[in-house]
Amino acid sequence: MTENTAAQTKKSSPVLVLLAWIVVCIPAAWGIYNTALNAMKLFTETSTTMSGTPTTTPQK
Amino acid sequence: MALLSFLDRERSVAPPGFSRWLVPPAALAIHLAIGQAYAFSVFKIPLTQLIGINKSVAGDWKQSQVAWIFSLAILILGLSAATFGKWLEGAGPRKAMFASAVCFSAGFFVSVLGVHFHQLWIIYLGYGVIGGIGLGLGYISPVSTLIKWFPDRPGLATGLAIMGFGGGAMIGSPLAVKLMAYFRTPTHVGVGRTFLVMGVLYFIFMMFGVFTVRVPREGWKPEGWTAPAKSSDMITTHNVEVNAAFRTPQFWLLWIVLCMNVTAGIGIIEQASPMIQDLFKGTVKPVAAAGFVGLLSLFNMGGRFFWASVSDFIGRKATYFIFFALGAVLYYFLPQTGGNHLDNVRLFVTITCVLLSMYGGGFATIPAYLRDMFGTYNVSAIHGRLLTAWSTAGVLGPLLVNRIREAQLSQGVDKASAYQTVLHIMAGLLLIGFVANLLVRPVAEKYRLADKSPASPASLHPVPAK
Repeated sequence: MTENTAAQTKKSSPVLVLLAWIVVCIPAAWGIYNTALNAMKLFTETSTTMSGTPTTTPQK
Repeated sequence: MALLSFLDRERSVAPPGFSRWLVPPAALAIHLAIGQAYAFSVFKIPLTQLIGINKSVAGDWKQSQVAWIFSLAILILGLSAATFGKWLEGAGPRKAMFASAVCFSAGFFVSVLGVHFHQLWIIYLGYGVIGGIGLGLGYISPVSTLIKWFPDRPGLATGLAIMGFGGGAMIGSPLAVKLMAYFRTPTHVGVGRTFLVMGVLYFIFMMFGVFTVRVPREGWKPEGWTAPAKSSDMITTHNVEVNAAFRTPQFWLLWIVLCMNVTAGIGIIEQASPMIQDLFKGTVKPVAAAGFVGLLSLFNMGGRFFWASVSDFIGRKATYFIFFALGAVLYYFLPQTGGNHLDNVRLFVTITCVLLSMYGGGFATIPAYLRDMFGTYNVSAIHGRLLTAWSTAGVLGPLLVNRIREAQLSQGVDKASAYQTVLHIMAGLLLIGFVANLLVRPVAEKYRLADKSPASPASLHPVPAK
C-alpha cells in the first residue's frame, strides 16, 4: 500500500501541512532569534579582533 | 473513559492520503516544549531570592540546593524513558505524548505549590520527578513513529525531532525571563506565576502534537519507495525485542558510544563561559562569554539536524567515526588555541562550535543507529533504555570536569593550564567511544524475532535464543 493507492483517497491539504509547520516554526524562530542576538555579543563585545590582534575599538 | 479512547493507538492510525510531513511538526511540538528543561538555570537565582526578593537572605534556598531540581529531572528522564519505553510501543505515540504533556505541565503546577509554601522538596517532586517523567516519555514518544513514517530518511526524521529538544531551551529561556519580569512585584520575584503560565502554555502546545500525530497504517510505505532487499550489513531487515536487545553486545557498545560522546560534550558545556574567559584573559569579557554560550546552543541544535541527515547518506557508523576521530583531535588541540599558545579566539570558537555540533549530532543520530541494528519493532523502548547513558554522562561529565579542575587548581596549576588536562581527558574518552563504535557489528541471528518485517509489536513473538 502506498501513499496514493487509490485516486479517490483524500490527501492532506498542503495548506494544512504548511500551517502545522508554521505552528512549530514561529516559537522556534523566536527562540533562535533571541539566541542569535545573544550570540552576537561574542563578536561585538570582544576587545580584540577574532584573530587576536588588538583593535582601537573602545569597550562598551 | 470514552473520551480518552481518542488516545488509543487504533484511533491514531493515519487514513489513506495522510501526509507524513504532518508528523515532524507533531514531534517538534513535544520536543520544543520539553527542551525547556535545559533552560531551567534561568530560575536558579530567582528561586534563591524568594524571601529576600532582591538578594538571598537567611532562610532562602542555596544555589547548590536549587541545582538538584534540574539534575533530578534529567535523572528521571533517563529512568522513565527506560521504564516506559516498552509500554509506549503498545500504547502508541498519541497516548505517550498526552501522558508526557500531563506530567510535564503537572510538574510546573506542583512546583507552584513549592514556591508558594517555600518547600523545596515539593519542587523536587514537581519539576524533578513528575516533570522528569514527562521529559522521558516525551523524548522517546515520537521516535519510532518518525522512523516508520520515514524509512527512507530515518536520520533526517529523528534529527528534526531531537533538534527540537536542543531548540527548546532557546524558547524556554527568554520566555521565562520575560514572564518573570512581567509578574515581578516588590513582594514577589514572579517565579510562581511564571511556572503556572508556562505549565498552561506548554500543555496547549504539546496538545497540538497529540492531536496531529498519526501512526502509519500496516504495510504503508512512501510513494515510489521500495525497501532495499539488502543494502548493507549494518542495516538490518530484522527486528529485535527490547529485552533481547538489552542482552546484545551491540546495545552496550552503543551505550558506551552515547555516554562518551555526551560526557565529552558536557566537558565544554559545563565550562564554556569561564573557559573562554580564562583562556583569553582580558580579551573575552563576561558579556561576550554569554554570547559564546548562545552560539554553542545554536551549533548544538543545528548539529542535531545536520549530522543525523548526513548519516542517512554516509551511514551511522561512519558518522560516529567522524565524531570520535575528529572530536578527539579537536579536543586535544583546543587548549593550544588559548592565550598561552596561539592566542586565536576565532580558532577556539570555530573548534568548539564543531565539537558542539557533533555533541548534538550524537544525540540525534543514535535512534537511527538503533533502528539499523535492531529494526523498528521496539526501537523506542530500546532508545529509552539507551538514554540511561545520558543520565550517567550527566553525572559523570560535570563530576570529571569539576573534580579534575579543582585538583589541578589546588596543586597550583594556573586556570588556563588546568583546562588542558580536562580537555585531554575528554579526548581520551572519545577514543574509548571510537573503539566501541568500531566494534559494532550486525546483531547475531539468535536475538532476532521470527517475522522480519512486522507492523505492530502485537504481531510478533520472539524466537527462543539458541
